[in-house]
Amino acid sequence: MNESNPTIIEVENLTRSFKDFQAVKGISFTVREGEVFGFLGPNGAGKTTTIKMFSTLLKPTSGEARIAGHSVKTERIAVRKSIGMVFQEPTLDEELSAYQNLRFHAEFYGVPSSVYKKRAHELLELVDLADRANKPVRDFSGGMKRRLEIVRGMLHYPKILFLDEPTIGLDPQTRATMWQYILKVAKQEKITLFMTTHYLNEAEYCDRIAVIDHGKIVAMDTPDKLKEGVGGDIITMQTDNNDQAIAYIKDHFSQDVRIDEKKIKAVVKDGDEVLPKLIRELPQQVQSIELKQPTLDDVFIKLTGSKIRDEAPSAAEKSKNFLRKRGFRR
Amino acid sequence: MTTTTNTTGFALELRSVRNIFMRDLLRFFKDKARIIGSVMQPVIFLGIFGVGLEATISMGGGPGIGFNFVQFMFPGIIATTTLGVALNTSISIVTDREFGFLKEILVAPVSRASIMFGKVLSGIVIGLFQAVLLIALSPLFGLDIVWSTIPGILFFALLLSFAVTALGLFIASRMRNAEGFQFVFQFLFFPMMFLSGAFFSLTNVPKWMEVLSTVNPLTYAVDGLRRVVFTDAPKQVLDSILLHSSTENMLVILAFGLVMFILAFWSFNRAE
Repeated sequence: MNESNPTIIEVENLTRSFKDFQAVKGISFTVREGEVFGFLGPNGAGKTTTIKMFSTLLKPTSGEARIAGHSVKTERIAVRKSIGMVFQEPTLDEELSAYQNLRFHAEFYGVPSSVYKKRAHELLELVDLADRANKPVRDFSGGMKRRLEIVRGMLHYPKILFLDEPTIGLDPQTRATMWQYILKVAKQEKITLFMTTHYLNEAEYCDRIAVIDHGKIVAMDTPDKLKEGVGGDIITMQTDNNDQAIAYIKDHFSQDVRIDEKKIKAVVKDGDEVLPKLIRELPQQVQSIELKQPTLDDVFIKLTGSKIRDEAPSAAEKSKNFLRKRGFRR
Repeated sequence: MTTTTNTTGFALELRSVRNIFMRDLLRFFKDKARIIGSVMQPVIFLGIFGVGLEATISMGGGPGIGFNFVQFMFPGIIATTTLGVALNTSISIVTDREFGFLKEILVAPVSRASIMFGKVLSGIVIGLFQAVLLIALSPLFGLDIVWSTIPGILFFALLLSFAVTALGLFIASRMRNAEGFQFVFQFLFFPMMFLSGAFFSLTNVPKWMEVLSTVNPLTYAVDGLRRVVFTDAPKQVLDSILLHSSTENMLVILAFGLVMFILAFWSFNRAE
């Protein structure tokens, strides 16, 4: 990513309230053209609300966001023209075939039919759906639907592609392939990527990450810099008395220590030197011990004090399942 | 790299109207159950209810009512069937919302007006398709439709489809989940159907019913269609079953449709 690339997303003091609850509390940042930018945060942090404002589905309460130079408040159609969206929940027409869904999308964005016919088949090929092009989406598996939605979002080669939890529900292998593909097309077509995710290993694909919590950006940097900010390496260990061990570590090694999944996690500088010392000096018996570089997980916990969990199904998803159970058909 | 450029501006808006329209049509003709259902209802009403009631009315060899009851009911059935299919076409927006697909439509770079025009167009075409189907089936019920009346029937079917699709759009813009469908059908479709004069004449009903039917847009469609169908009936028959002039009927339906369309447009444009 070139530092001198022009700004493509410009956010100034953006705020959104729902009745008396403030979901997004005056965030400001810029994204450059061609950048892969990630929004990382726990449930209810304000990620989806922000993306909805960028895509003009929600009006900001105050502040401004410019997408490809257009105001999300006053130039809504121009904004929508320059973006592609991959939503968190499914947004396919299940009665139509994969190809018909793509065609419907391309028509809306004014892509000439000679172009989209070719492109649609290429894209379906890339995500292994070519042989299902004419099958109704209703019969697709969750992963297949997700793949179809992702290529649909890119079909019109938008300037910016917004991905709200794009690989939710995909198995790790498909997730990796998906990302390879997204990044490849994005690079080739100079598409800026803006994504939210709670898969921390996915956030590693980003050039820069903004960590958002309670509607505010608490940190923003490259994944490497953010990891450096954790302040050292992570030692994970188990002893015969974890409580006493923690007290001892606090007194002699590091203040930054806590229990996570019944294991002690301590952040230490120069982990490779501390590790042998720790085993030697700790009065408690060490049952297992592991040293690793900090991950985004650790960054996240450090900044927000909580772990990222899997999202619970949204209300819309729930009622949809309910309708399906009752055999409801459109 | 390709040299072809994307459609923009007004051309894109027109393309989007067609896009919405094509999808509705595709879905309508895919849904065989819905088409069969929309034919079965009129067949039951006309072929069983109408024919049966006709027989009851002419019992005892009295003076009768002076006209064929099935013929009397036919315009009402065209109107209610059109009401059903057109309402379904636009209210499907609610299921699109429920299933998430509406978001795909709402982030597309086209104005809400084009989306609504697309919906109105599909409502009209599907409504007209139903009317044509009913006209084609009419010999089954012993009806003899005069060829020259067909344009008049289709004209009122078109007006009604427009008005009802617009009504459906307005309802859909306010409705958040598909559970409201039941409500719409119980509290809108059935009252509108029975208070429209589709099954009995409104010329001699209690005051409260007269008032309700006056504010029912379907009444004007049934009346308009009936005037077309009873084109060469004697004047005293016409006076006993008809309420308004063709122009009145036409204007009321048109005005209702326009008001609903504007309300729906206003409602859809208010971003959440």
